[in-house]
Amino acid sequence: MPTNPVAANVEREIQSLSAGILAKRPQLEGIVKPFAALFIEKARLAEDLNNQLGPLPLDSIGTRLSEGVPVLCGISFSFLKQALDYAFTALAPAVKSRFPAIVSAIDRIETEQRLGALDLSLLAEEYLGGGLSGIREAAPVTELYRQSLGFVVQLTLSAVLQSLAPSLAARAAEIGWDHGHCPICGSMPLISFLSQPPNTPSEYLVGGGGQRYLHCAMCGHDWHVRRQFCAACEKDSSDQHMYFKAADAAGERVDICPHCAHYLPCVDLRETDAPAHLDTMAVGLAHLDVLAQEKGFHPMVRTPWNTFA
Amino acid sequence: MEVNRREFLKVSGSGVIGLSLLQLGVDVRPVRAYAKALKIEGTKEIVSVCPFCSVSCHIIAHVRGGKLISTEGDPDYPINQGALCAKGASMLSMTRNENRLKKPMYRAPGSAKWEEKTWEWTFEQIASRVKKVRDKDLIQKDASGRTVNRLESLFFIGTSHADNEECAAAHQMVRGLGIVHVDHQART
Repeated sequence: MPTNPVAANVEREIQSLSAGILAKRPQLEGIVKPFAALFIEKARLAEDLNNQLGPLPLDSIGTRLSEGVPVLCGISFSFLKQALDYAFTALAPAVKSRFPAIVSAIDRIETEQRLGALDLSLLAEEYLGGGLSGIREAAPVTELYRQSLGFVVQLTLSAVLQSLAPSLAARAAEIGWDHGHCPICGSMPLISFLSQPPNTPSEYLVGGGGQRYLHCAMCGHDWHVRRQFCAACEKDSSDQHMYFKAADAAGERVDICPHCAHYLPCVDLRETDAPAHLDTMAVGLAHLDVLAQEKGFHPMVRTPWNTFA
Repeated sequence: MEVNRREFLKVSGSGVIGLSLLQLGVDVRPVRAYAKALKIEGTKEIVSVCPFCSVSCHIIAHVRGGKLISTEGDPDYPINQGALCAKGASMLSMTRNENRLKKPMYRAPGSAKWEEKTWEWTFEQIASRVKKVRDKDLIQKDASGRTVNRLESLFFIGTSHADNEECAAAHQMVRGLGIVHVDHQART
């Protein structure tokens, strides 16, 4: 059990949310259960990782953001090496227990990491920057190993950055950011949400809220964008914006960009009482991923739960 | 420092690195079957302007199959920030409420019964009755001989369901007829 109250709270949120999803859609059990378990492991890591993360070796955060450069883009991740190793060691058993099909690949990655043959900080740095050569070279044997390594790097880096991101969120919000990629780590969004109404109701006005936020697939940072903004092509589609939703699913939809044919799942927090653990919500909308892809649209970010073939 | 957006999308969109559900040993058939059975509705979001007053709050109109299905305040418009007043919030009922009147209804003087009438009959009745009263009662000059063209025996009341343009057109019409007693249901 987690020892810190924040992790315990997140764990309860994930459990409650995944139970709600499976009560509505038992067909998603094979997808939701293992990933919800991984998200809980990541939440449990949060406190330990916070203690291991040193100060960010940057003194120009404001300048970077104001110039449109994500805070962590293009910097060395050597300062994260210890945290990445720790997170990988903690997460690998959870991955193996939830996904027996890749146990052999994870075993091999564990061995290589233990022997010092894999530098997770370098791999993470390259992964985040889009340079994939390090992962290709590090995994010369099988496609499954290569892709398992990519999965592990994403998962491990995500756990570390989700611990780091909250300390940078206020600065990012203060400077302002109008891009489709994350101001902190530069990754694309996993899901968006429409915000709840403000807590200051007026007797003369109704509604409110509905502001659109993008939720980073990697570090979990949320940032505000215009309602009809496409994160992939960064265009507004004020009279062509479209979304699909299932007839009986309030507050769940997938937004479609008419310009670049990308899609992004979205939850409207004004229409749901469910706890807002957005990563779990994204997994719980895998059926909308199926539908959007069948209609010819592409996800903003590839995840195992939106990659079906 | 230049950020290469293409690099971001290389990871995010291509799926070069990363496992599929099949590789993870997850059976995708149940979710595919579930998705196939769903009734899916495509809806457009169109930004428009609330017509009911000069504040002109922005709204987002949700349109499905060419029909307005819901409206909400535009959260990105700085004036209303997603909120709407009672009139703006009831906009959908203006076009979709099944209880609204869809045809002219007429109740004859002294009658307790409403009758459905055609628009042609209704327009003809209104025009002929207004003309009859105006022809009879129009005050062209006041006691001092000044031209006033006042019509004091007709009263015109507007409705809060009328938008800005309808109110402007109605106002010009009644002033043109000389009607001086003009009021609006929503003025309080």
